[in-house]
Amino acid sequence: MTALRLVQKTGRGLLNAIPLVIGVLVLNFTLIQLLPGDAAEVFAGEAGAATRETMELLRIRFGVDQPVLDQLIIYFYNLARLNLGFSVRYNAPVADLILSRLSMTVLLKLAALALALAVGVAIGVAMAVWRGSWLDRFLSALVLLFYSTPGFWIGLMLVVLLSINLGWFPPEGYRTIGSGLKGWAYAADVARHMVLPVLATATFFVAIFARLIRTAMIDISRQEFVRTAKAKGLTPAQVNIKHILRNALIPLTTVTGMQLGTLLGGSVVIETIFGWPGLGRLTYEAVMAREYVVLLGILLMSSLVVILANLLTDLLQTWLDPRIKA
Amino acid sequence: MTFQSSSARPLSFPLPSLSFLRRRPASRSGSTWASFIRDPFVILGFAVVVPLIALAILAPVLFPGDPLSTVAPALIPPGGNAAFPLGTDTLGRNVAAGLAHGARISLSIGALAALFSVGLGLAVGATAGYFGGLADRILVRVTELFQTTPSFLLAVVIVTLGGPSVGVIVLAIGLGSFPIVARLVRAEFRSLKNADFVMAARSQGFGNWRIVREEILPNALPPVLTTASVLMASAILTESGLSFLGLGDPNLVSWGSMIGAGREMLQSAWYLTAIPGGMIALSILAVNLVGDGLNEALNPRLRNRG
Repeated sequence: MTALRLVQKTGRGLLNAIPLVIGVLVLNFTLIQLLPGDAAEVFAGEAGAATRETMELLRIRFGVDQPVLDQLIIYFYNLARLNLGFSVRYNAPVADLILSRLSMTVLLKLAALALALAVGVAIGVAMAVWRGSWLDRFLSALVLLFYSTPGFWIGLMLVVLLSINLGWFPPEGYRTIGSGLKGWAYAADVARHMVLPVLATATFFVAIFARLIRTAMIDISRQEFVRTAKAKGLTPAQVNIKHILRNALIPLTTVTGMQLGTLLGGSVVIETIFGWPGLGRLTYEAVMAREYVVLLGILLMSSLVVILANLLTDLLQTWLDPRIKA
Repeated sequence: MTFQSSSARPLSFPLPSLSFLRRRPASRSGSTWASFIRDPFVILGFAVVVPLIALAILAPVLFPGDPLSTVAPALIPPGGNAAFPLGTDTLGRNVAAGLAHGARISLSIGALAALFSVGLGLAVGATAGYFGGLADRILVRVTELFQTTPSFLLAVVIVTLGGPSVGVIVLAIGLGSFPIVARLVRAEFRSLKNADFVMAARSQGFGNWRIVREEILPNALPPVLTTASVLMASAILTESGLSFLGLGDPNLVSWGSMIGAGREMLQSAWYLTAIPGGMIALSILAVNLVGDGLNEALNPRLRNRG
């Protein structure tokens, strides 16, 4: 593909994302309006107490004495300066708080996604290549089980089995406290802590990806070009991998993009169980402390992350599939 | 990014057809219903769903009284006492009673949330698909917005803001999942509104409302029905996550809240977590099996897949 097409595609994608971003902002603003009490009251409540005079000052500072439309403009203005509000509980700006937790969540989610893709594609290929066999049926039942079982429950059961009973993996946290490990030893320690949360996150997505690859490969294997490839005398392995699997990966990118929101949302429960200090754990803490500013900041940032990721997915797809026009 | 236009998007996603589990495609002879009720997977699904619904309905009869009240010494293991076959939890509450009463909450919230998303999705999708133009553009954007927002996170925020009542939980779950229905319905309406039989109805002078209700809707409904079962399964899952986090109605027992409470005792009484989680998995599995049977029976495109 030419560089020009990639640039065109990027521009179009960005243009399409703008109304969506505005929509996300308006949705968040609407939710803020639904908060019990205005922002000044919430702030005062979190700080402990406030006099009538302080409240007036706070109202002016937060702009809640203005009409709603003006408030929306103030909200946009604050966001443009990356000002998402201030968390009293953590004594830090919400934006900083979220950014500091984001990397831990991204680390966990990327590891889970990579595992789910690897295992899911492998299972999907096996099911498609040997469709109708006992292997296909066994894997199908397994996939159905993964699809129907809540990830957080799988996580808890893994803790019982692999952590409490066998002692293989630590049940929570992200590192051994007070171990003073450095370098590779530290990385290995973190990796050991990641195993259980990654497994608990990945199962559902293994099911989705395996299922998708199986369907896509079977659909593609009936197309003309596959018959041509076979007629050329290519081995079944060559046909399966170079012709069928490669094309089945295209819908996989779309679905991966579509599932990112699910992946992020799921981190709330998984990170709570495993005491993983990411965005999900922060969400839980914000819910428990009724810190609405933090909660809405997380919702906003997560939506923006999903929009960005979808943009990248579309680009990846253009690159993979030359038939998609720029 | 455009959700509505891409040739490469798989047709049936996120509808998880389980047809691959079948030895051979569902029978093409006989009526749709006949093949549906003869399907072994549907029978298996119903064999679980029907007793579950019965358990939910009969919970107050089988286990009278508040399932949240202490009735026995704490932490009787399952099988330890004939009166409490599944044992008691940390507060001496009957686990079996909790499961039965929890079935009421899980199944009813699952069904209501699915109903709400289907209703909203039908309204949005039908308006967008039938009228097109500006209404379509706006509604597609709104749908995209709710599809982009991580739905579990949205549910957490809405329940935190609105308070943990059944109504708010249903709304919170439904808002996150209506885009699936809206997109499906919009696509059906767009293709059906120019069909010959709709043209015929229009030429007879039928109004929009009558055309939508009597001509298009019955034809667009089958895929929606299938989706409803998938939505119900995912709503049960979402509800369990919410109540696990303590965002369920505190006065009602649900499977998720039982897991949340049992989690504290994972070390010594793992069955307090295992039992309600098993119920969730079992019911989602069963609903999926029934939904897939519906898909198989109602969707002729899937009939000759293997």
